[in-house]
Amino acid sequence: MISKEVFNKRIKTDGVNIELGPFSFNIKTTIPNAIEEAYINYKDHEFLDANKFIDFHISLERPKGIRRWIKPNVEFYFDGHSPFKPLPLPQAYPMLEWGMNWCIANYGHYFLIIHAAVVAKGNKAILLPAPQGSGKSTLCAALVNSGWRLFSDELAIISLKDASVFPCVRPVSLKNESINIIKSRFPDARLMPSVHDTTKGTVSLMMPGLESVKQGNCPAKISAIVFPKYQLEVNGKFEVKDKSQTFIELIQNSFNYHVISNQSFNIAGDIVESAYCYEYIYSDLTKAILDFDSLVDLD
Amino acid sequence: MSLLLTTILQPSLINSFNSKDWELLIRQARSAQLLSYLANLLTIDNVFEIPFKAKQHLEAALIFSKKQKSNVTAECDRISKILSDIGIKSIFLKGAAYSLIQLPLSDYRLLSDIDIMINKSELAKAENILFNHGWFSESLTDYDNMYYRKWSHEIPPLKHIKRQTVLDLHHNILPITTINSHIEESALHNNIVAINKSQYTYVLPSHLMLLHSAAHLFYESEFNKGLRDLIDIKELFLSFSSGDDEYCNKLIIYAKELGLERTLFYAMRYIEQILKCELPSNLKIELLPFSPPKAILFLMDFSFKNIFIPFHSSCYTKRFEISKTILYWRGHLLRMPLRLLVPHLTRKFFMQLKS
Repeated sequence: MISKEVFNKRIKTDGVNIELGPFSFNIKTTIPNAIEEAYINYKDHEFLDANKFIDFHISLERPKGIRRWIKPNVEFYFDGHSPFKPLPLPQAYPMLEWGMNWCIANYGHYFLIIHAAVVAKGNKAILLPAPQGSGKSTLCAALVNSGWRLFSDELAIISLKDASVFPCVRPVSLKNESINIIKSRFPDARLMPSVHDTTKGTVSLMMPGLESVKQGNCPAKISAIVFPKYQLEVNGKFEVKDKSQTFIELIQNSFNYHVISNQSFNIAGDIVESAYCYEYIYSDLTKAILDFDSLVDLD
Repeated sequence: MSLLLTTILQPSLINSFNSKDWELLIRQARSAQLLSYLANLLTIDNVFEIPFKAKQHLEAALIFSKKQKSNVTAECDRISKILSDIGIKSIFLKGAAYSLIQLPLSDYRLLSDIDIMINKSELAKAENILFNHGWFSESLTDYDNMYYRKWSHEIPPLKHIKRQTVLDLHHNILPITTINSHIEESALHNNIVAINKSQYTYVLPSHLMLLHSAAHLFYESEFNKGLRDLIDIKELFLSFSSGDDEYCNKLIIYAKELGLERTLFYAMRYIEQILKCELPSNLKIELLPFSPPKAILFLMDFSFKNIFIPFHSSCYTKRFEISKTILYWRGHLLRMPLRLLVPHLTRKFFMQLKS
């Protein structure tokens, strides 16, 4: 584990080199809140030596001039180029995380990348692809607080060689009501202070657990694809989902399926063929955790 | 010289690279929009051993540009079909044209928009029908909109509502306010070449393609893609001049006709001096009279030799900053007489303050 002093000094000067599964980032910033949160989230990760190849160089900066004082802003830079509009300063740390997602989704075309949460038990991973508002992050947070390994709550990073999924262990982004749901159910979960009025509403990032971080380099086999759907007052249940429909929705949730074309068609096909495909409608997290546990115990 | 340019000129250097050299090379190439160009150069004959991490980025860039190329040709098809319905011929320019005529360059060249030229008299009609097919003009201030329509050689960019492709609709290749060069539309429209015997899909002939690319670059005032554009010119020259003995002659003749003599002079000078492209000796002799006076040439040499670099933090020098300022003003002054430029820049300055 890196000491806070060393971390603070490095992130302000040369940047810290962090390995996140198959990707490495050099992160630079002098913004105090962002440094604090980056330290909390990444202190247990692997830090790379200065002579190692780094995939993405990113930084958070405050614009110069009048906007430093009036309605202060923050800008995200990918190697000196800024792909997004600035955000209000309190959103600095979430912006860093969104920027990292952007780098992977835009340049990681050596993987098939799907917008999905991924959790695993042992060597069995479950993909939870779903649009925003389906409760995918909430379910993901509940599972990783109940003995599941966190891979990611946003990006399924899938090998083009053998269709295994790689972890990229980073904080889980909880939004709006789900912040309090997770807080009250898992008092030990470590949530960052909430950031209000983002494009996704109120956001609070949940720190990844130590076990998941430790196994941050071990890929797993995708054993099930489950589309979660939160509904009021239903008894949680799995419903078998048609494979061809699963294939189509998997592609719709992919960031770069259309870029990789041929290869990704075969890989997505392999995954759907060999994995169980379900829809999971739920309202109660306790039942959900039991259901998911039994899903991997089955075979 | 930047690591990127040294490597492009002598690829075998990579044999001695360590991981940090590779990292820097890829960063510079990506900033210069030349990552897929570099990837093609280094992987084409499989002669080099490339470390795993670097190779991933190079391959990803090639995958992306290949995909983009097929998207672009499909988009060109759609556009020319839409315009053909009302009898308008589409003349595709730059990147889109390179893809349509299958230039080797188009396999690894990224583009941010599709450029197309039609007659000025047909602009309103074209804009209308494109609108019906989902091409919208992005929101602009009234001033910007007026500026485009009154003084520019193109209308404000159109964006497709679903596919997000950006389309630039031109009626000429340089703004009408450009000093020293006035290009008659007919000089361009009379020489166009049909693609696949189509009645509606056209490109400029090879000599005008190069002159257009050169005019674009050497009347420019911002050079963040400058090195990429210079490499375009070199690749166009190499593709077109091999196997066409008349090519150089045509360049000279049309440069004179369009008032682009000095532009051609600069383009050829810097692909030779910066990119080490070999030029036929008689072309060099023919270009000599197009040279600017010595003092100006000295200043231009200084500026251009320092501006054609990757726009990456590892490459910025004092000389680069000076060149950037000189060329910023040169570009603006060339494209607009002072009586228009001063009010324009003043207005822009205050608009920026406000936002």
